[in-house]
Amino acid sequence: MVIAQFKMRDQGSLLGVLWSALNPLLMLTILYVVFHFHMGKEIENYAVYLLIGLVTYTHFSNSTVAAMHVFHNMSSLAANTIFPKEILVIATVISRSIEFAVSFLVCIGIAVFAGVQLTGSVFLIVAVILVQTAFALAVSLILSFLYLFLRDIEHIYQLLLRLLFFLTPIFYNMEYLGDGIIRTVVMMNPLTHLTMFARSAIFSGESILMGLAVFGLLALVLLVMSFLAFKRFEPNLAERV
Amino acid sequence: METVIQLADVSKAFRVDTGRTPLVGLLSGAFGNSQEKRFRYSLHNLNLTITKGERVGLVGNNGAGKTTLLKLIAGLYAPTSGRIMVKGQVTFLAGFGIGMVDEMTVAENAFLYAAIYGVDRDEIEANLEEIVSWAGLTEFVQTRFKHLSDGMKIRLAFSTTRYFDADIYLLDEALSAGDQSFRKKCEQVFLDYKKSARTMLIASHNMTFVEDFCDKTIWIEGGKLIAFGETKEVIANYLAVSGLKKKMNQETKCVVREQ
Repeated sequence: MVIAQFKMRDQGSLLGVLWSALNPLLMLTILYVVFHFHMGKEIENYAVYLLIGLVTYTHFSNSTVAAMHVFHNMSSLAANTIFPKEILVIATVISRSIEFAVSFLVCIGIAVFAGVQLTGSVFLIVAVILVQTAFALAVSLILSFLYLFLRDIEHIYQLLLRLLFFLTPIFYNMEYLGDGIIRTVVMMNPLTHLTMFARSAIFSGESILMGLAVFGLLALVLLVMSFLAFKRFEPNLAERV
Repeated sequence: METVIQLADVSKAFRVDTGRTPLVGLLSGAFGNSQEKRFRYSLHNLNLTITKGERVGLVGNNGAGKTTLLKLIAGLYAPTSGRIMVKGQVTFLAGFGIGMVDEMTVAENAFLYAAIYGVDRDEIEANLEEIVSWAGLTEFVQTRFKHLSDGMKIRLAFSTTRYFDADIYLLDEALSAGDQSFRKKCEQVFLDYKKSARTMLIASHNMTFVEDFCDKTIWIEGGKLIAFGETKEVIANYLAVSGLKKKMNQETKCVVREQ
């Protein structure tokens, strides 16, 4: 099923799977060119810093948006075959997570090339990927069935994602925000923490074990709750797609 | 005999689109001026018991509720009221709207379809050639599903289904899209099934097929059970009622041709 998701996605586009690499790279170039004189001076290895933020954000937004549409895109399958429907959502998110893992490998490669000293903490990136997958899956399960009830969710969520892009320290750092209300808002954004975990792992920053464990636990609780909600809704799924 | 499917007072209602956007509907509902009917009953207080190994036909005019009934048993729809008991693994195969994915190739779809119904990948891999050739699609293994004709689609789906090991088969007009030679092949498969203890419920407009293959037949009309009994009797009654109209139509046609 995961393979199916992976293959389906880029059918019919000229560059196929390359797009998933090109998109963040183009974004990286734009942000780098715009910000490296300004913010770039204060942040070490600005290109790698940017890339990690972009990769994290891209995985979250792509996986949740894809999962939101999955029952609509595979409506014949969802309406006419008998199987636990959450599999479609899980497969969608996992196929994006594989891409996410590959992106981090590239990140680490570039980091080494840029002269970043790696330590053992780099292996924590695996835990970061798992935690983010659990979190994205929890959000995806809810979105996937909300979308069947109310198509407006699509527009609301796109707006929310755009907001999240600016409320996540992707091209700036926390120092830049000062101590005001905006900092508090940014700190309440789960993606902020996920981005910082990934950066700490690669740049060998402060220990993230504690934070990662707490976040992982919260993500797990959220996942169980959204799974139960999804299961409650599932009997009505076939007639809604 | 062991009961494998039992329906007790099952009803199913569907929301009727009022042609308004949800927001307007919501508002008018909130202000209490929504006297119109929002639901239409597709099945009404249905009681039914099917025992293991029975092959049951399901007849009725378009819109009688045949597909709704099958999808309820399949668990794809939830009943509005009543209780449904189903024992064993169920396979549902619809002639229209097969659960396959447009953007994937014939081979990939066979794997996916089989995986959904719990067939080992190895088994399909070993038999892929047979599945494809039985469906007459040997040249099209790498063709994307959406480029196949409707007949090819149903042939592929049915061919893959033969490898499923389900206890209950629900077929919804599964054979209507195929041509004569395909129908012959299917009938052979069904005859093989006949020897096994598989329970089957087959919705069809092909009375000859139902007569040949089904021991018992359900006749529903307008969401209500009209008859459930020996195939011969039920079909005869069904044809007597609905066939009347057909005969009249044919006669009119003849007249036109003679003129």
